[in-house]
Amino acid sequence: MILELLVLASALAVGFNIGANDAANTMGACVGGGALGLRRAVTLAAVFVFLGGILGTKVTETISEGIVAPSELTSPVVVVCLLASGGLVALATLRGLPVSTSHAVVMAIVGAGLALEAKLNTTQLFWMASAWVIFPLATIPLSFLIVRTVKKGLSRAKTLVGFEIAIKYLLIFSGIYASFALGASHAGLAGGLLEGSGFIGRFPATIASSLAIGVGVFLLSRRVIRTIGREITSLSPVSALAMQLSAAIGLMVCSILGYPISSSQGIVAAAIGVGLSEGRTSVNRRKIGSIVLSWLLVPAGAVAICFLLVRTVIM
Amino acid sequence: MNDGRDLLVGEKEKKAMTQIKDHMELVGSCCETLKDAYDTYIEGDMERFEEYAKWMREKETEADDARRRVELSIHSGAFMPIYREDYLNLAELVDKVADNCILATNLLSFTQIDIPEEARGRIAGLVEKTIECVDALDETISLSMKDRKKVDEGAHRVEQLEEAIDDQEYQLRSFLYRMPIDGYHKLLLNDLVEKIGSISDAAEDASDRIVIMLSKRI
Repeated sequence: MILELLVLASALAVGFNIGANDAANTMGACVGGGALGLRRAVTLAAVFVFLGGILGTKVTETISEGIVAPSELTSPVVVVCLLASGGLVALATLRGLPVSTSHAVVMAIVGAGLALEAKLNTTQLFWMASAWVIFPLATIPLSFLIVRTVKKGLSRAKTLVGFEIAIKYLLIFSGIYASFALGASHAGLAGGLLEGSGFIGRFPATIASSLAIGVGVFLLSRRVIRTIGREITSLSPVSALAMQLSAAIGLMVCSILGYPISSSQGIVAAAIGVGLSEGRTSVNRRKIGSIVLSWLLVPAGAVAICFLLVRTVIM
Repeated sequence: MNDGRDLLVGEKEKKAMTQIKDHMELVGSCCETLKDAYDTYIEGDMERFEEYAKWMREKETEADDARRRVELSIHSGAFMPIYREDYLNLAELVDKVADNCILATNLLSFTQIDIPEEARGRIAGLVEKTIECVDALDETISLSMKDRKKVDEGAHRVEQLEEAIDDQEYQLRSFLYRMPIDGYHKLLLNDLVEKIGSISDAAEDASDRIVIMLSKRI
């Protein structure tokens, strides 16, 4: 019973953390662009993250049974995976690095699987790793295309006010869609492990993790949304919209396929695409380099920590 | 009062644009009176002239209040943050049109300068053209609220009128400096012409601002 409670608490904590940090990628542009006030943005984000989470269960399926056999994901293993991945992401977040919870959770399961000498679903892992590479690469041209399309559409606005109203509605729609996509993509990370531990079914697991993310968004995301919103304010509203929307489309496509991917990677890639659409061909290589390094270090760290913990504590 | 309309996207912007239009109308009505004030002045009816001047100052004060309402709407969240400074700058530039109008009227009021017969008609022509220019600015602002594709036409008209006023001003000043009147009188008359000319300069600045605002949005 205590173990089950620990599993539940760890899963909820990871979900809570996802909501607190990743909501900025969904509503930052809305708030920074003045389309919505912070309170309304946070409420909408919480509601749609929850809805996305309960409607998008493919990622839950992947996490609970797509990497290792469900029988390997005992409660102690699940606790280790959640704490290792959640802890690493929290540490990276404290240092201001945009790392991926998705990658950390998946690689934590891989690390646990290796420690248990369990059979890993290498085909699934191959396609997942491919998605991790293809998604940001595909987001670059997608954001480029969205900028050009939106600009063409907005050029039809008859008045100054018409333009502003149109862009505000687009930002709100994009924020709602991005929140839904975040829920669909990330609720399965904690929900899948909850289900895998065996003491709770898929639907209740999904509800629990979706709720945790929604609560995390509602209670703790305001400061991060405000910070991202301020940074985005320096971009044109069309650029901010394109960044958010292209990353959200990628998240949604991958969550339908059952592949958990990184929302922050999507935003960084989209920023490159937006820059290219505005004629900016140079990128801050040092910044990109440090981001790529953190993307590699956190999953590697998750594998290593989980492997060691399972080997030493559980086995 | 919060009647819930601020929950709808765009309501703050519509309200702010209405306030910008109201502001322009007040500025316009201040400037239009300049012709009547000037005609009354050269007829020698100082009492009526002072009534016109007082009315213009009241309109200018109302315009200042209207500008403050625009600023308050903008600072309360109308328009996207990246574009708010554009609207604030526009309101300031439009307000300057009325301010320059008052400066010209005040000069007549304070100095009660005698305008030579030969110059009266020319100065009247300059005033009429200036009012046309301010009307063209009003039209340009209206077009930005109705059909942005026609704003360039409106702004072009303001520019053409301002260029014509510049030419007239140059010729008039040249004429005044050649008149057989004392130097101080010449300076005052030229100051008057310069102040009238600055009204259309301010109108052109405001009109250019609208064109820049539109080009920034795409």
